Amino acid sequence: MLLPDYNLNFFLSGNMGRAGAEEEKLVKELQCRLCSCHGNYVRDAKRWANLVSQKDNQVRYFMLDSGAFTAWKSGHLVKIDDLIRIYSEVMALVDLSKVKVFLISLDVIPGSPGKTASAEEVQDAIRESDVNFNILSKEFGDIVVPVYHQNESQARMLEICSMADYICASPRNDLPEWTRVRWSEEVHDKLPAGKRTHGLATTGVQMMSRVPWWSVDSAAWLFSGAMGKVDVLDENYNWVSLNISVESPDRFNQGKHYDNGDKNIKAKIEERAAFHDISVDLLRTDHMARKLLNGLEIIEWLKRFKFEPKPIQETLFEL
Amino acid sequence: MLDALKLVNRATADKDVIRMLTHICVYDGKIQGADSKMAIEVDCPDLDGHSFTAPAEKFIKAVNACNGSPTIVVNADGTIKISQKRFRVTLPSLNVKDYPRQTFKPDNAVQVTVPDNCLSGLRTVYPFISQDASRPWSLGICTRPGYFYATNNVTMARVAMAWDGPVINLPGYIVQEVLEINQPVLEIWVSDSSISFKFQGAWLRAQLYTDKWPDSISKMFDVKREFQKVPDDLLNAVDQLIPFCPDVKFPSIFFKDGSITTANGLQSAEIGFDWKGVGVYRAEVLKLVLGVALEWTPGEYPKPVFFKGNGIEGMMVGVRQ
Repeated sequence: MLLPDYNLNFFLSGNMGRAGAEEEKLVKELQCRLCSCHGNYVRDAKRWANLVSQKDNQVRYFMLDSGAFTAWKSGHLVKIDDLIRIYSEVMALVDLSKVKVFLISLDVIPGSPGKTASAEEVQDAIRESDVNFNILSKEFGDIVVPVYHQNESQARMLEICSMADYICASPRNDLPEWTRVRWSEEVHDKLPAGKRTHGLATTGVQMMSRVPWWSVDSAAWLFSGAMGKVDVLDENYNWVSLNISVESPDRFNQGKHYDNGDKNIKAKIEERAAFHDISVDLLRTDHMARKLLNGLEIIEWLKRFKFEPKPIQETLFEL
Repeated sequence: MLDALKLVNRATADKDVIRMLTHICVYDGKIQGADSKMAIEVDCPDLDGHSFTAPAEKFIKAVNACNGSPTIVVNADGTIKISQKRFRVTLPSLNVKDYPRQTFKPDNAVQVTVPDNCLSGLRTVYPFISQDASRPWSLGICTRPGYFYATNNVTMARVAMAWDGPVINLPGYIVQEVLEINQPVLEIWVSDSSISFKFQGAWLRAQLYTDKWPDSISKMFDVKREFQKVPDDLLNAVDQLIPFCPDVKFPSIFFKDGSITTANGLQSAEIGFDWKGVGVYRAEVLKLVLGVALEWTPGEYPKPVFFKGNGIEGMMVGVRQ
């Protein structure tokens, strides 16, 4: 099958919630999938390792994440030995002749939830992250991707770039989007030639259209579906969102739900659902159907997405 | 009393994470309000003899409803009654002894000579303070001997200031408060972590940022340059072009020989201008600079372009295509 040449590698991330026909249908359409290897998600990562290896789909890239941030938020620590074992077990299920695997390095997150890290804690975390990267690289080779965070210095970015050709850049989630976009633009402006970047949680429209990421990931399609929403494309390929679940409290808020919303949006949802051969009744009652529709719409959007280089604002100071 | 209350209310907390900080404290003919970042105290002889706390927003609304001259009674159960004629309000109160009352300054603070142009200088440099929290140091003004500096990482400005105090990072929101209070500053005291301003019958004490500015800033101004006059109608011309910039998220102004233009796109605009040289700048940055610049060095583009105005000098960088 001839692969469409997407302008951006968009990794659908997150756990759909249950195995079944929806995953089988989605895997036939997508090219990139990111799975967490934290706790109970390992089971899903293994199932997806099998799915992406099937011959009748177009998946080219499979990325695994240590889940260090999820663990950190719940007060746990991911141990490097455990992670090596899990990454190895999942990778053993992947047809590596068909699918290229990337492993996000085990990032040590400074401080603890709700407490801002001290400068010393940040430095210690960077040192430990580098030790983990070296251990993982020794084990798995050049498929390990180190992570550069917003608020780390420009010298640190260059250091990360000396470690790998493909790096993750992670804008802070607690800052307004415009500062995240501006930081991401600056990073790419100062990046040594030939490096590729993966943007962690960087799927805002401005973020993707202004910043020349090689790849990005997002689990927003899942959150939206789980919360009872569908995100579909209008005729201009802009996003339209609406609650549709029969359990959504918004069914009693005029204009906020499929049952009482704008007729044109309702018609658009019906049109897009029909395009993907998903029944509206299912969208109203089953989160898996909503997640599937949201995921398939992202893939449709990607077919039209074309990154065009934008003017760069010069800056007076380093990152 | 209402003016004093409104002034103090600038410092009270909006959110009741610590409920007491949403209250004002009245004592010895003074009103104090504070949150975790700053405290303001104002003399209020109308309240002499009273000692209580009250939720700031509600208390101000009550006093306002009494046309500023209410009768205030602290009830035996600790509640506050505010009344005038047939209007009566009862408000809850927290124990005044539990109020974390601030003093004007910490014991280790040193006094700084108040520069003559303190307020006007702060007002001039204030618009150049960054809003970008990813560079926390740039959210304030850097005070150094001779100059106050502010930058948003695209443009940097400094005003000459006879400052004999330590190098500090004065938070932008404190500058805003001082400017909005808009009273002559009588005294300034600085400690390692705080700054205190005394006004006639009032004072403000605030936490300083601990984030250090880059050491390189003063050297960035070192080289002598050939300035040229900024054309009188340039700012007007930029204003005329901005509505027609095709990328509303990134409006840019292009300087070319004989004209200035927007970017090309579905919509665009051009103004013939007696101009030589090239340059591309973000529209809002250009407006900020042209608002104060009398002379500049546009020939230095794409390197930083320097500018000078009344008591201000600075630099800006442009956009690279």
